[in-house]
Amino acid sequence: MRVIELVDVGVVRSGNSILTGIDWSVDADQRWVILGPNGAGKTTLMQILAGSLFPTRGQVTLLGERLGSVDIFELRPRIGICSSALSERIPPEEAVSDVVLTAAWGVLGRWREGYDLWDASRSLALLAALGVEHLATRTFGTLSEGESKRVQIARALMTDPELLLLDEPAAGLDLGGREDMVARLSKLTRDPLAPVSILITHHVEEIPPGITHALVLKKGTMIAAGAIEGVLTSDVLSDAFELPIIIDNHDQRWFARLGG
Amino acid sequence: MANVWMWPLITLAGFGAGAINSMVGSGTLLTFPTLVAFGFPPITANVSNNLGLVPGAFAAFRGSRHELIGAKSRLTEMLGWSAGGGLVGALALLKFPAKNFTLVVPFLILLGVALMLAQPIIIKFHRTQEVMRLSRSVRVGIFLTGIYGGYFGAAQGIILIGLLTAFAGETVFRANAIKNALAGTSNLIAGIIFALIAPVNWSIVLAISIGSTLGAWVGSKYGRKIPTNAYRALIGVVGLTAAFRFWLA
Repeated sequence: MRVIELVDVGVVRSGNSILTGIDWSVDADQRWVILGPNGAGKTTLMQILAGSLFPTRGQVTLLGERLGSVDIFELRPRIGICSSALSERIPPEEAVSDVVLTAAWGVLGRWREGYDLWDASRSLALLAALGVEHLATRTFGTLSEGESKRVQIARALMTDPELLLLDEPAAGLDLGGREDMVARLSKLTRDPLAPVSILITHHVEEIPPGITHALVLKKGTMIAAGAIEGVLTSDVLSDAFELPIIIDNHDQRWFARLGG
Repeated sequence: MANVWMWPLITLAGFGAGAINSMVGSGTLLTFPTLVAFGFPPITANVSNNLGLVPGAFAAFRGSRHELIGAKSRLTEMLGWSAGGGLVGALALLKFPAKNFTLVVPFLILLGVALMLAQPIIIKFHRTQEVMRLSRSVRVGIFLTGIYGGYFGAAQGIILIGLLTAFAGETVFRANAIKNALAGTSNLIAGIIFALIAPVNWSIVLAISIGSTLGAWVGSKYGRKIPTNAYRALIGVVGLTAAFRFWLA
């Protein structure tokens, strides 16, 4: 079953083509990574997948619903998003447990909504699954970058989304934080009950084992898409980043370096 | 005399019930009276009818599964609640036969219809924003509907659609797809238990299985083409008819 289907999708902004001719589909049992240098159109593609940007041309079908013929407010609750743009809107004085809990009602900041025991236990279980349950009573503003990222992922999972979009979840983390994040994301992507996940990154080292497919963008066009082993090659990445790159794979992890 | 037409007519009733069930629910109200009219004892008719409609429910779920792409974990949990309820309901029926229970049924059906029709108003009071949420009340509601489904079953689909649209943030089409899976599961569990202890007429089961599977296939193919508000109206009309049918019976 198709979770995402893009047919000849293009985005033009003030005369500039940001995305062109994207033909891409994602099946229910796949986990994708979107790779590419800065300015390749990754974030724009993510906005389309989040249902927050309507493309200039082409057809987009998300979770079986065609954009343009579906009420977007019915579709959005089914999509979980974790991005730095979203985290900037979280009030710094909000308690960590509430940052996750309030997702149940799709709000930021606790007000008059009612939460039951299931909501509370789910939010705590998600914090525990991401290894940050000890931070539940802290305020969001006091968290380190790595802690904040994990809380954001717990928030994105709170509503039990059917499509999960992770925009650079390991950006700005130190080595330990990155490795911990990769391990947790690997667990998530391997869980058959977890939602279809799309991960955006520009570092191949941040790709967790469990990701099955990759899409590589360069200047708004898709230069490769498919099973990860076939896509993450030295040739494809050298083309994308316009540098001679050598890519290695050890224990299902990926490593890139400059070639001679 | 009636023998030549009996099996084709039972299959046809099964077809109608399968089609109605795949879109709304309460198709039993078509098959059950048909069986009784042909002179089958009510218990045999009830149990065989229940079993015969199960394949139709799963065919309907197959046909509407695309509505639930990605909803695997949500659906799995709801199935658990519904199956548990179905088991409790079926065991309860063995202990306390449904004699005066039919008096309550029309009110339950009307409640389902009212919930579904009141959905836009309920949402305004109930939610701060569009959100899908499996709350404690929805979980309890699914479990109770499962009990009802195992115990009596008629029109549990309408009650489920009312519950899911009003309190779980689902659209009518998704609520219907979820209902196909939930009602199918509680009916299957109840059906297995009844089959072990009550007289089953396997010819009836076969005829209704064939009819309801075909009906569900056709129903789920064309059901999605109906616009949302017309679809609500359809559920309302079928629900009201079912409720009045019970009062007259």
